[in-house]
Amino acid sequence: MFRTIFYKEILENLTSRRFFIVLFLCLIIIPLGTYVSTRDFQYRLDSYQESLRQYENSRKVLEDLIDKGEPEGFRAPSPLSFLSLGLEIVMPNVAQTPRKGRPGLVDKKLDKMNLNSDQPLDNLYEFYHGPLDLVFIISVIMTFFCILFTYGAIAGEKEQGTLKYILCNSVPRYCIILAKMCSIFLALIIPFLTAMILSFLLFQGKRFALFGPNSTLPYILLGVLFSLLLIGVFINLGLLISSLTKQAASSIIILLFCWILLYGIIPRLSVVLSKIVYPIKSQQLINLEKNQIRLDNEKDVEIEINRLIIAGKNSSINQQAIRDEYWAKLESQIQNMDRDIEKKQNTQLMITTNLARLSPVSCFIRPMSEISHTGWLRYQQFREEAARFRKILNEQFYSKFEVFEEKGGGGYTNFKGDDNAPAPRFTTSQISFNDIMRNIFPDLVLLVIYNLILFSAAFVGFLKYDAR
Amino acid sequence: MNQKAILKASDLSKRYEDGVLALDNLNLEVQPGEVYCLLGANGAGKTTTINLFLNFIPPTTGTCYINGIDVNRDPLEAKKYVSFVSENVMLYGNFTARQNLDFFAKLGGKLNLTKEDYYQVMRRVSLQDNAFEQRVKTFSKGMRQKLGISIAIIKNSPAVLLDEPTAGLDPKAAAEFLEILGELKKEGKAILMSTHDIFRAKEIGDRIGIMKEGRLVLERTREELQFEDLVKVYINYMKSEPIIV
Repeated sequence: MFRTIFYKEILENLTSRRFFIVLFLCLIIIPLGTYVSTRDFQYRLDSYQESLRQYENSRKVLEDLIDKGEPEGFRAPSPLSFLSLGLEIVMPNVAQTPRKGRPGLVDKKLDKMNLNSDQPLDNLYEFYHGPLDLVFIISVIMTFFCILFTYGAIAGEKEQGTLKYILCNSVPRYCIILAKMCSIFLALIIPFLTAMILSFLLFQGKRFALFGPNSTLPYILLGVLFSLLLIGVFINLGLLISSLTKQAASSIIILLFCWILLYGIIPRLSVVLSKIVYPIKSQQLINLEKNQIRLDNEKDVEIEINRLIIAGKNSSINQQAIRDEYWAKLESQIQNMDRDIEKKQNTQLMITTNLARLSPVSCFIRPMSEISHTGWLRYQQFREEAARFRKILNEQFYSKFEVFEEKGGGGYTNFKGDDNAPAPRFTTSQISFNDIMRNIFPDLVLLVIYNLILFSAAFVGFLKYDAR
Repeated sequence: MNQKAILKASDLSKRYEDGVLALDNLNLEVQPGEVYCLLGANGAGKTTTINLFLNFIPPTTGTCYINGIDVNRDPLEAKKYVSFVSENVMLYGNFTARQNLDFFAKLGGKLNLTKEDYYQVMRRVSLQDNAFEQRVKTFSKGMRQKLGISIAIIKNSPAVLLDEPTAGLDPKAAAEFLEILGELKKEGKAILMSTHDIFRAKEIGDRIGIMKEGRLVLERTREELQFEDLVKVYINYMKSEPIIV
């Protein structure tokens, strides 16, 4: 019985005008989005490679580091950013590791989410409307198609009266709804996967090592799994609303409202709510407080130095000792402050993430950026890489300075190491699949749960449907 | 009446959620090869009776039986023995007549039918040959009703339920439709038809029941009606005092 209804549904869906519209739009939008993302990636890759080349050419040995300023590390753009651009644009791409720049965080610059200096102005439109990456295509376009395919699936048959004809036969209701769900799913994933494979072959194929130790295939497959789960959620939501309403027009109005709520309102509202539930100081206020601490510290240093002068113990060594002592105090104070702020920010972020998970769209968007290596994990990893680089620099470079002048011209003097030793290089690594899975697992489970709940609700709604 | 009834309603009542008593203690039986016509005004309970037989709604009290099977207890088994034709046969407009027939035949358990089998059934209900592979959305109401009855024919179930099947049909189409019903009757089908059309009911019905406010207030056999004017009887019952429940 399932096969008969499934075959009928498939035939109905695949021969409908809307299927060809979806196929046509998928075949245009997905390759176009991939092409735009690929070009954008190429631009960022060129920029990264050029920066790296220039840096490495100018800082071959330790002596170059002394002459040409502080060592830097560069963040490579993610080739998977065609799946989700995520935080790629706003994420810092240079890690500066001064010996004693700002106290505490060696990768302090990373805390600033600035526009990249090499970002052309016209790309600002990406901020207004968001990129045309796969996440946008799935979360906006495909979910809309899901609504178009499902709003009349049951309500339409009720209105037409065809459902009565099916139900007067010996057909279990679960067969009907299951066949509808499967056929709509198939009718939507055929254009989606065709367009995905096509655009992958056209624009992305050469970029990836699909197999081998650095294979990107698991990430791509995981991205596709998340996409299919989100499509499933919207199909089941559509079936639920369609089974609860008597008219297709009512069904589509409710579904569009749900779509706006899930895509636009809940994720944004969760940010506002988390700020209300767990307020923390703004970054601007924190910076002002830090500046005040620095100023107070400098005042204290001046007072101490004046005392030295009055006591007749003034010498550059004594002054340096006082500065070092106060610097250490300041460093520890600001480090504690940063730790505290970071902890609070992480708590707020966790609240936001969990609130946003009320929407399946959020359970899709955030994990997709992690899968694409353009999310929070990549940002954290970049910070860790910078810290690691700083450690190497401390061992091989900074620790070999005899005197460091803080004020009056500054600079490192009397380098005791081997000037001609090769300059340490910033190393970067791929986020492991396991780390990503650990991070996004709750979202994966939630998407599965949303699918099960919505399908069960649609099933119960359809079971209770009064066929008269 | 000593045969086993294919369709049987026993003390059947239905009260809707809004409190309206749509059907009140209905008892009726339809034997094989018999056409039972239910007459009554709008809201008399005719369609509710058919909906209860099809398990579209559960009864408040009482039981419906199709071929001896309690519809409420085992609806899927009971539905194997019944076909349904509604007032407006609405099928899948984008499918051809044959595709619709194929789909509903398979739902009715007829899995191995050929194109020619479908064509034969459609010819039997006087559908033109050129309509067989035409999309149903281009069909007139009469053609759709014929296709509806061909679905019932192809299922070959012992019971056929018809809910005002001739409403809105022109006289010729209605006459053709009744002719097909006559053939089904001859094949031994038990037919329960709700209708407003007193003349057609008298013409085709072996028994006629008049319903009013959910009750079966009168039942006459074809023989009994030879000595009575059905129109007069019907109008008298419609005019009589409302039944106080």
